[in-house]
Amino acid sequence: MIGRSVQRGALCAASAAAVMATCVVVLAQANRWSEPYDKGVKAFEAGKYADAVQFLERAVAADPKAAPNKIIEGVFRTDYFPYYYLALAYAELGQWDKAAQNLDKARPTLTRQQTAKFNETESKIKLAMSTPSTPPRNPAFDNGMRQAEAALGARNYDAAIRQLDQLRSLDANEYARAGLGAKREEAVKGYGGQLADEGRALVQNGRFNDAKGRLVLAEQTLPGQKAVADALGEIRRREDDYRTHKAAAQAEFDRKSYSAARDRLQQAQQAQPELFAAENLGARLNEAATLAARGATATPPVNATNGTPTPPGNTPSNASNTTPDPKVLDAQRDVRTAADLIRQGKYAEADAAYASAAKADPNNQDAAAAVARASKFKSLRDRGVEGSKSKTGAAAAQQALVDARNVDPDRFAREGLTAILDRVTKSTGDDPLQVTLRHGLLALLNGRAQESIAILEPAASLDGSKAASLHAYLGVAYATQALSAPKPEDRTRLKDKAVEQFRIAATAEPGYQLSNRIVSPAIIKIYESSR
Amino acid sequence: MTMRRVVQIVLGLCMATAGVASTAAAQSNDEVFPFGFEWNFSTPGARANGMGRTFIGIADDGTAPISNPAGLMSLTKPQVYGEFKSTNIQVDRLASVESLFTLQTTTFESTVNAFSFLSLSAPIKNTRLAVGFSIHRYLDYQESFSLDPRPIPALPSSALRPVNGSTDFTGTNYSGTVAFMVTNALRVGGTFGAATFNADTTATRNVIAFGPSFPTVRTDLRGTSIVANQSSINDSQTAPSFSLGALYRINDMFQVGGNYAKGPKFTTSETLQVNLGQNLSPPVNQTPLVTAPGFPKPVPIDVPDHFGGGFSARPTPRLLVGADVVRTLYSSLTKTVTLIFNDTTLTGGEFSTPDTTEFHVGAEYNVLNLMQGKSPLFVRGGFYSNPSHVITFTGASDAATNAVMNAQYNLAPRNDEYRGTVGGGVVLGSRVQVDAAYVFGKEFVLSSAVRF
Repeated sequence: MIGRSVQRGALCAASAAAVMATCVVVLAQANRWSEPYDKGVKAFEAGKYADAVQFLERAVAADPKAAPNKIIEGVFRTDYFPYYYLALAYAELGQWDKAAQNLDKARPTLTRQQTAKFNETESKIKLAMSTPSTPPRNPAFDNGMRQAEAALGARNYDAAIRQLDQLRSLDANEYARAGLGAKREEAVKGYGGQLADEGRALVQNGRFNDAKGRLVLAEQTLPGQKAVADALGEIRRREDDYRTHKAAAQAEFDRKSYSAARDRLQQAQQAQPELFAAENLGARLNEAATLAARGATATPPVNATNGTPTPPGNTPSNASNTTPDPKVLDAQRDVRTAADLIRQGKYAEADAAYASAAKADPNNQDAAAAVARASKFKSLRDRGVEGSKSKTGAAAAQQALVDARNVDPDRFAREGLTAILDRVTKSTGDDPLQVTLRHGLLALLNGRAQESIAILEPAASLDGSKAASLHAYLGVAYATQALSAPKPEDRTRLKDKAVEQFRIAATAEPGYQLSNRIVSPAIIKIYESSR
Repeated sequence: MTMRRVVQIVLGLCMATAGVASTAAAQSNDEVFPFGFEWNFSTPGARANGMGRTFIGIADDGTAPISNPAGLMSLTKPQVYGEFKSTNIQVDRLASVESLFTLQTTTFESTVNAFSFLSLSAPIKNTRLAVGFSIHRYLDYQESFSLDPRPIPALPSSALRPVNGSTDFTGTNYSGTVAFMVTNALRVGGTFGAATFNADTTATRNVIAFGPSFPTVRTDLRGTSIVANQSSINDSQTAPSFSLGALYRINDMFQVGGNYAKGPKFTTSETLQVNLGQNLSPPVNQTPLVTAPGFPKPVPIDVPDHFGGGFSARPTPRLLVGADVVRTLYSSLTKTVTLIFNDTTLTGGEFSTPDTTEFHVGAEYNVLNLMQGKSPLFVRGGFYSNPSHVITFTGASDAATNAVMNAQYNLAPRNDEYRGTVGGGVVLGSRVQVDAAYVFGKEFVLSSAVRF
């Protein structure tokens, strides 16, 4: 560059560059609105509302004129909405007067994306300002706050969160005024970390199902933990291996290559022993081992890790030469039949098949669990339906039906119980849509996305149902499943469903925002991209 | 640091630098010096170039150290700014045999590609100061030309010798800038630097062979391979330079600015060598050539000072318009010309160059905001004038010298230049800006800024 001159001016340039390089270390923006505004917005997004207020007030003092695309310097621009963020920050701090003043100033430059949060804050401010200025604090609130702080101090984060949520329900204004939102965030972070640690410990102990539950909850509680993602990835890999080996074993059975089937089953057991046990594949393994021992095929056993033939004496001890009990085999066949019947919606016939399986083989855990589940469902259903007919028992009927739905949401929907539950809910004075949404959210937050879908889907599919929240959180449930689906085609299908619901939500309420406190950033990204 | 202290430092630097500046003569009467040097006084950056080189009243990016140092206070973050420029240099000369009679010019063209500007600038935390360091190529002139033997209109039996010449003049300014916010509305700044000047030129003149019918038939002459003389400059010099600027924000919509730039003053040296064999019969090339008595001679180069004023307006948040007026004191180039030829009949004071006043107007419009407003897209357009500033020979007492110098300096056409400019730019996120500009028929400019 600049030819020979550079060499001749090198000394000059080097000196100046050295001075500049030294300066740059201490350089920053001076005397303007943009730096404090940037810092204010970042502090707000980090939940540091007091800091946010300080920075944003500095920005307003430097330049009070809010505007979209305001020029920072040259061609660089940014949206400058200090009053909007000040209003929200003051509201979080419980300084309602200032929140209201800033909200008024923010109104002329309000964007579509800000509308929902703006309205929410406006309602909150109105509510707070309509109450007496110094209301006596509820003694129960004080007591609850002490308990929450004690739980937090004892690192009993789960209890702290529950306690804080109760306090918010008890008195949302006092909750905000006392700055309990920050404490809840602290508890959420602690709880997320605890769940992650527990999940990882369970993985190490081979308790993959429990671990998965903990880890999914950890991810939903505190998204973005790498250790959680890694551990969930490990579990998913094992589940994939398990399914692959199980399918391969079935194929080997079909080909009558029993020793290969036995080896595949052993590998499936090694990959995910809990699923192996839950699906009662032990009996299948015994059957394969027996048939292999009879020499039904000459296929040599294969070592799980490197594919080299295993020496004859290396057969696992549980692959003994016992003959499978025909009743056990009958029970397994019945369980498979029952599962098929459920897929077809033939619950009564499925119940009979499970009962037959349980009778034939009392040790068949699938059958036993299904019989117990069906029995509980029918009991709750009958109680709920019966109660719905009387005017006095509506509340009990509602609870029974909700419990029945929790036991088996698919069956609940297929048996048309949703309409009965809605009717009962209405009769108790509750909004069925809100109740459904609450239950769906509860299932979602507890890591039961499938159950959440089963709860929300019937309500969402009703004609004229335009509730943005319902569709949005149904979308979140689908997105949650999409993100954890092992197969690409499932991921795509579920994501498409999520996007469809998000679009309906956005159409129903253009400014609708998902809460970033309970929805992971990955899902919010899908939501934003679908709008 | 108090405001008084800062002002004292700035004024002190100005006075110290001004004291060093020379006001001596400039250039020589060698053909290697073009009739009008194209100094790169244009504001750097594709943004300014796209807006008709209008920036004195705007000066809100990393090019401010050159266009108006006060504008450095507009920066809110450290910024690196770089520019690449491709310039098409066209020089019209009376080069063909009959050109001094027909006045038909020959255009000698060359293209110069260079990274012509780089700056690193930043505001200083918790102060009203901003600083910057910049490297600016203020001169980049390359030309190769060939002139035929040319009969002289007022001197029938004589002709100008054929000349083969090549020139390469470059100048680079390494400078530091300080800007200070006096009030929220008023900002001032100064750029102080060390400028280099490099010259590598050669012009060889050959002996003419006149035909038997000359001068009845004016074209009956030709150049020979016998060298008559050869002039050359091969030198590098360094000199101080400075510029001062001020910006005043009238209100949210209007801003005015002004600047003054003191050009560096160099003294280079030129040599003339002659072929003693040209006088033999028949003439021969006798090497080596012999240095003529009195050479090398000092040749002062006074880079012209210039000053200007400008305003900018934002009628809407998306539209920026501006206009500048720039006065360039080209007359300093020919106050006293070093005489390589005709030094017995001329004094060096017989040449003049007019000072010029340029007008620049331009606009920038934010047509689109991509990526949810994070990447604004701009289009720009403008126009500027560049009045002719070629050298004029004002006359001498010797008639033959008058005829020769008149032929060399006064017959070439003098045309004012008017050029349109267009450009565009995009901001990528909050840190990067990329701009391009085209000055019709002359220059392509690409520049980029990165904020930290």
